[in-house]
Amino acid sequence: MISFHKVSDAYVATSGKPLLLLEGMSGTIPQGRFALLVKEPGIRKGMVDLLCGTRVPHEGSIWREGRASWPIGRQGLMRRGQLPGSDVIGLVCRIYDLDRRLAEGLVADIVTYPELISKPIANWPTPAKTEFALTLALLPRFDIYVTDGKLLVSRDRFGVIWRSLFEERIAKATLIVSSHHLMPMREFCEQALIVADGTIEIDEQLDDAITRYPPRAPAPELAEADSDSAAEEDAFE
Amino acid sequence: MDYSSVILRLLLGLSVFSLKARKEVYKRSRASLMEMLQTVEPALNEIEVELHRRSLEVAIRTIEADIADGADIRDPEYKPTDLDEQLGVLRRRMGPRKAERRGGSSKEAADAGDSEAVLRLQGELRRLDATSGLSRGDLDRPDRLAVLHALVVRAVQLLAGKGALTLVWMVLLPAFHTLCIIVLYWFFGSHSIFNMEIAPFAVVGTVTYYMLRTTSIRMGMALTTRGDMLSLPPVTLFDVGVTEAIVCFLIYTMILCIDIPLVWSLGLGGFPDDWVRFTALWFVMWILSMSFGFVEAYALLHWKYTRQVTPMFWRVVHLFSGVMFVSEQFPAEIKHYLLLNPLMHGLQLLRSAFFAGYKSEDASLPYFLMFVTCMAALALLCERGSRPLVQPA
Repeated sequence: MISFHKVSDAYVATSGKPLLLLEGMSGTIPQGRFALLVKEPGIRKGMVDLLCGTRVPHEGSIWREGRASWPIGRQGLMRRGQLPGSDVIGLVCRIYDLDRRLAEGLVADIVTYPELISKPIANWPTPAKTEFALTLALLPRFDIYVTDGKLLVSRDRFGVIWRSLFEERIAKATLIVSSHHLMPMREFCEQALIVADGTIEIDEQLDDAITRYPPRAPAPELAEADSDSAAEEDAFE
Repeated sequence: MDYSSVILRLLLGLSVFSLKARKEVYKRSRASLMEMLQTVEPALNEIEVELHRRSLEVAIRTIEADIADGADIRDPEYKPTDLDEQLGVLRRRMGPRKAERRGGSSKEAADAGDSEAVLRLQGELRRLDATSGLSRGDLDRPDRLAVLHALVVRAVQLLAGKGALTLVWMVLLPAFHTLCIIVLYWFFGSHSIFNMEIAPFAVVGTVTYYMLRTTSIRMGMALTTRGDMLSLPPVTLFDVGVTEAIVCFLIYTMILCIDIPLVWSLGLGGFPDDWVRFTALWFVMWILSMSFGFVEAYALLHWKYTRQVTPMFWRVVHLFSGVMFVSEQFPAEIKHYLLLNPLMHGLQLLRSAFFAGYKSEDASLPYFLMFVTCMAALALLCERGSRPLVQPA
């Protein structure tokens, strides 16, 4: 459950265009599986950050029942590519109080290129980074999972294993899927979370909501504001 | 096991053909199938149960994909696209292993019984959950010390990854500065100032100054440009700033611990006279440098010329904060103005604690502590003001 109390937030895109996220929003998102649909594609990343708790709103407060994930699908954790994957696993284990040895073994068992884990991430091929980022999100158990990107569509060994483990993880949790692709929304979600004109609305008719607010990539002038997730989504193709 | 005909029959019976209604059908189908599989006699093994469960999922997924593509499932001729092929792949995967998995490193291993791997990894995940020390009640309030520890370890790993040259340079820079001050005083024929040997006098002044400057600048940069760690929800802007300050504290404390014994071994000075007081004041200086860091970050976020002005500010601090002299060396008219600078008080108090023969008459501990307290309060306000402006990468 995520509760909003008089939350107002906005940011200015690189084009200089002001983008309203929320305005005086109060309300609650109950437990469930939601597809995040936005009227203005440029605010998608900001909304994901607000839901995860990685963005602090200008006004008001957001309260989450339980622990929220980081935006799954983004590779922010691996930006400083000079560190090896094992150090990044260590970081997650220290923060979330997990057994590092067990976590490293688990990641090595899941990813396609376990031999890369001890090498600097900067030298990894893109698919290996993507797999690693997705696998990291399986380690801590969260109560709210927020994804930002196109979740796996591949049916190779990693895709099958990751999907099965992720489905188990989200079984009793809230899931919010943000993407400019339809497939993950249709596969995982039951309701729509519509963000339009500074408010959040829950629509139980996912099909209708998708028709009204079809997921799409941000316009070019807003691309930089959302470039991170858009670029990472392309990496999943 | 082709469940598509059952699913289609259930879907055709729907009065409202919406996604929500379809999902409800799928949910009920899954529940019924699992109930049946778990109660059937003789009991099925885990692999067989998984095969049935996955066959149902494949049927659902194929039908949904066809609906999304505009197929009319009410058409009597309708058959789910490629369903037989997908079920064949599933049977091959779930069947006896045809090849040994090559150390989990090959994508082809997908065809070699990955269901066993899934079951094993699900068990491993549950074991991992059991090792987690976080109880549900702690989830909203993560252990700040654990977060700081994780961030500091990562910062040190990054620093070590930059190579030995970076660390050597950080040690050499204050050493070079110290040497300049010693040569300057020796040039004028002075070997001590108010019973303070020149070498430790210079070491205390320069290392403290560099700690103040470097902490402030590095914190300003970290808080405004490195949002990578902020993408982890338990990490706050405050944590990122404090981490950078802790790393600087460790580096400059280490430098002090190298320089003072070095000066002693060369016969140019001794060790601190009052260890406790010296350590306490060194720590207060670090608090001050951290406060400067938060204020600088706030300024960087609000005024684009801050990056250009900052070096000038620290040059002025260097000249007028007693890095190279003490206020007692100046006549009263000038001293009066110099002592308005709280850093002057701080450095003289630090030197008073270091040297047994020097007790500063000008430095005021309450004045200095008052300044540090005000700066810390301002830093907290700046941190709060910076929060909405710094976003995760």
